[in-house]
Amino acid sequence: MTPALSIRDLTVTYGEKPALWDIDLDFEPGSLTAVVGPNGAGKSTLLKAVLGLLPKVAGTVLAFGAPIADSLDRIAYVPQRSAVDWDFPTDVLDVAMMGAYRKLGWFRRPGAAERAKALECLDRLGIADLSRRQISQLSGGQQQRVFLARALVQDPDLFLLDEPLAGVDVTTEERALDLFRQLQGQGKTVIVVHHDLETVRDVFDRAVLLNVRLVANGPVRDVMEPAVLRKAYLGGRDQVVC
Amino acid sequence: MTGPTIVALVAGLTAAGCALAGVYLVLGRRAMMADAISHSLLPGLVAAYLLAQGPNILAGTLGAVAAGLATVAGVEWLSRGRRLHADSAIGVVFPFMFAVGVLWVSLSFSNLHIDTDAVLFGEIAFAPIERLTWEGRDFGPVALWQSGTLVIINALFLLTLGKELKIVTFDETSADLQGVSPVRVKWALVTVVCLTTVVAFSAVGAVLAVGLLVAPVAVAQLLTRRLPVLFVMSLVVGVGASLAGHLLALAYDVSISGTIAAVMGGLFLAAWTVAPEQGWVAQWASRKRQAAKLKVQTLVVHVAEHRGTQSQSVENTLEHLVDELGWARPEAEKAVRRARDYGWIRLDGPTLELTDQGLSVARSIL
Repeated sequence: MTPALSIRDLTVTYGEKPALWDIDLDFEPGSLTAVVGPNGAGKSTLLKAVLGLLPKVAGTVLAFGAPIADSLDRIAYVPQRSAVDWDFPTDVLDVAMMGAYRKLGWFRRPGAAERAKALECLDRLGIADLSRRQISQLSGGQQQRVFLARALVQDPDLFLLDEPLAGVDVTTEERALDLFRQLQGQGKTVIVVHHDLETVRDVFDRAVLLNVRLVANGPVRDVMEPAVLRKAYLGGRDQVVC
Repeated sequence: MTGPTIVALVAGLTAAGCALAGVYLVLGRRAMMADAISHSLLPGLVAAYLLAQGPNILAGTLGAVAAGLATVAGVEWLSRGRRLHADSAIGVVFPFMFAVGVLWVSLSFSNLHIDTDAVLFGEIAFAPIERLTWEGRDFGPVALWQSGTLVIINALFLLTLGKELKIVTFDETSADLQGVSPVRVKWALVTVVCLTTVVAFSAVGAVLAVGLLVAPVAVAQLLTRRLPVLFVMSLVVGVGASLAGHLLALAYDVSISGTIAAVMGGLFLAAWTVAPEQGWVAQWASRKRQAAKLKVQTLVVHVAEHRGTQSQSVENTLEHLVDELGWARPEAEKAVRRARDYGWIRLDGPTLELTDQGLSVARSIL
């Protein structure tokens, strides 16, 4: 089967400092993967480089067998919440509808169909009642759910989510994890940069462990082993954490 | 049309065009770009004057827009990477462009008198005098045509690129992935801002052009957080200040553009002070309320913590609040009075006792 996402020999640097070093990864369709690793491991960089948002020193990336630039209509990306200006004067529904912009193309404005779709996706995340709320008045968890709803509006086959559970409330976390499982059930491929090693084991079926280089990649129970984690988080030093 | 009516129309239309162009400039936090553009037009105007061999509105406009675009390109190029911040780049580029203009004028037109006041302040009072003529027929004041066209162009720009401007300003990365090239949208906006500045510049001068672009939006931002309302309010503030400024200037026989700028400043100060939610007064009152509420909550929690302990009769007294919590006596008295008003606390001799309601408040906090 053609992988949903296939990464070969990906190397990315910030100036001279390597951020990702010769990464090879395949993500099967319908897989739910957590990308974990210490701070500065290149987790967010991986997603951005895959999408072509950062220049690559080397490497090729294919989504569903095609170059990324030709597959963007099948991929949704949820950036970290801090990446945007939440003081921008607009409301929740408006942001959710931005997920439909690619299908609309230049100049065409969103109409009743896009509005209905956006409301349906907001409802899936339990925030349809906030549709007319200004985004500056949202809590962190609500902001994150708006972003997830926007990704759903796009109706993609591959989701790339950058720390969607960082600093959110319990309800949002449960909703989001629930959503990931639903999406997987629908055959979607979901890749989540994640920081909480606890929930990885319960929710995800695969894990990728990064620390500039690829440390481990496989079923969650194999990757989330203390010995393997130690290798990524302590660079192989024989110490016990926590 | 009488002279003052024409001036009022030109001022109002110019302000409307500026307010429309200014919204995304301010929301994108690029307001100072307008300053750079307005001071860089001179070399473009000079070049156009030489090429067209005399004053020509179309050539002048194109030349000035080109100079504005060159300035923005220079700023963007210099501030790429980490060596120079955008504000420093602006500070380097526009004086250079202005200097090129000034030197070019003194070299090429040594016998021509360039009125520096007109560059900085414009002279809207001359608006009725310069006429658009074609084959001997008079089509009315040039400034009226210019400012009217500006409003139409800017309104059409916002109507066609509304959703693109929105996503690029809010979330550039997602815009890129949604197929809306941020680079194209930004340059379209910069071009419109250049054109707007050129038209505003000839009517009201370089300084007020910036004011008309930025100040109405800044006022409107203090009054609303809804985008459609923000557009309407920016228009109302810009046009309102221009018309009011014009009338005041006529009444007191002072500079029209100066008065418009002063009215705008006054409006901003008023909004900054008394705007319903974001004004200084509202913010101050809300901070006061927060602080008072926090005091009462602290009091209730403190009383709850020592409730039923041996030290209760010592800890839960007004004296103790003053001694141990470090509160001034009037402050402590006020907190106790508030807590009693809320029905959270009652006095048992000198000892503060929680009511049932107070207890549930304390529990909800802890």
